[in-house]
Amino acid sequence: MRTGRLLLAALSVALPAAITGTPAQTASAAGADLTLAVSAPVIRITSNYTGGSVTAFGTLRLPAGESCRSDIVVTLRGPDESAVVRARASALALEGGEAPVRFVHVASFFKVAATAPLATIGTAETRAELGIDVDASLRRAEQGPTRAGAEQLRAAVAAWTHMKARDGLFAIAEDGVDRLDAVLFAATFAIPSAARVGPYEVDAFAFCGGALVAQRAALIQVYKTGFSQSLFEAAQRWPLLYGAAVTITALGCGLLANAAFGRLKPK
Amino acid sequence: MDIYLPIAEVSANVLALLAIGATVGLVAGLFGVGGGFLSTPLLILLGIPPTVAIATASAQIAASSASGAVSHALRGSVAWSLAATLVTAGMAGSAVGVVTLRVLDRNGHAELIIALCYLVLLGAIGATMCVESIRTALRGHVRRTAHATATSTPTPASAAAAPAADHRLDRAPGSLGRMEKLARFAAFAAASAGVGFLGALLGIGGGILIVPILIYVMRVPTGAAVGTSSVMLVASMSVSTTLHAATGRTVDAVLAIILIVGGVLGTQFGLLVGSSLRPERLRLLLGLLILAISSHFGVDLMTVPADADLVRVVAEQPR
Repeated sequence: MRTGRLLLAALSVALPAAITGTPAQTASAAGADLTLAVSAPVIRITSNYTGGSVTAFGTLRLPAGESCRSDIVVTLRGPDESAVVRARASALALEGGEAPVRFVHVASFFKVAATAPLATIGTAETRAELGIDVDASLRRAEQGPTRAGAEQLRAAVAAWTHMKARDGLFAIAEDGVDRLDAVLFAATFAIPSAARVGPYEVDAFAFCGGALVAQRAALIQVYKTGFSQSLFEAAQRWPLLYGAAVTITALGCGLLANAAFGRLKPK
Repeated sequence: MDIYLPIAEVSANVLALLAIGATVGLVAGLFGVGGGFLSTPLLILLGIPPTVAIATASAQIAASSASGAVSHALRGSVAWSLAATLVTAGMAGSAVGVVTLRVLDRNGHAELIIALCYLVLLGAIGATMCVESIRTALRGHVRRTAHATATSTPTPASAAAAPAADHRLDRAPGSLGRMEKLARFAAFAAASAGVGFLGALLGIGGGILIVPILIYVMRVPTGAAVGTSSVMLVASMSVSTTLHAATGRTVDAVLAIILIVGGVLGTQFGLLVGSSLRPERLRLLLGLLILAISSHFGVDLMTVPADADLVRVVAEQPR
């Protein structure tokens, strides 16, 4: 009987999501209304592309009379990739003796914006579950022939975040969500030119008194267009032909240069 | 003014890329080398992924080598029988080099191996060139073409003074026995294969390697060594470019064109400047330049990252 009631409660939460296709709200979120939209659902990469930016904005309305502290966290996650992190010894700084740490299916691009320090929003478990905590996400993604030790994993996670941050592909902005008025919020993310093409997922999480009350998702597509896309596709679909074409073009340019500067005449 | 490189998947400043191409061309015009040892590290410094830099530099070297090979062929400076051996072995070496680079990249070793090779190879070549050119300068007399090109390749001035053609290799010496001929053939093939391998692995043409080997180890006349090696470079770099594109999808045509355009302009300027400088001074300059690049890799390898984390992300899954 008790099991049946639990199952019914779970279905009452899951069924609306199945019908509407929107993420279900938690049982404690009755009345919380979160909306989300993005300024640029599509980012087109053309020949003069130098990177782009996207603003995620929306509204959060809490039930009347609700007096909890509300927080909003917005994340932008890029396509997955795998990464190998290798320790460099302090001595000659060439190679460490430890096996590399391999992260599989981690976000190639990940940025977080929030209305307050992440450590004060929700619990560590909640943040890990929602994918807001990049450390936890990386630790889960660690795979390799041998499990890395705690210190090695810590160093690898730190290195990954450092390298990604250096390339503009990772950032945590704990004051990155602007509250434009009582309900309206916005967060802007810069996407550098080195960011991968593919689908980028925007997630917004609303917290009330530290508890998750609502979440929404939106999708952004980053893709090449025009000549860049054509060239890239040619290189992917017909690699041998593409390589031969580039080689012939290079040789032709060399001969043309020779002729243009009059060095074809025997001396 | 930035341009998006569709294969490298990064944006780069067009003027900076043209400058790199022109610098490589300048060095090529001054010293008669392909310049790949310069373009690849510079591209990496500019933010181009190493595997794309290596693969695309091969295309630029193929272009510059084609230009030189035609000139040498018309001048009669190519020993075609030797060229056939070098081309065949060089192409085979390039193919192995491309496969090796793919394996290294997949296992996260590529960056380290490339840096080590640049450090050791360029360090040895640069040091040798500096020592030799300083000795020559101290002795106070200009050497003949064969000796003036002792460390790398002839400068334009000395190349012009070299015999227009030396066909001694085409006419197989009657005094060589069968075993000696086979040994010579094997040595040529091994040297060429090695240069082709390194060329594909490091994105260098190998002219700076093969010519001294041909002149000082194989006793090939200078004129024939320079002309014949350019033919070999055309073949090995063409194979390298095609295979890099076919196996790794790492050749960026837009980047290659920009580098080639810059290289053509730089080469002409280098030829103008080179004709007015003494050969040993040119070799000293080249040696110092090579040592500087080698030192950069050495410093990068030997120092611990500024941040406290003693780790480095070295490879990612191919896109």
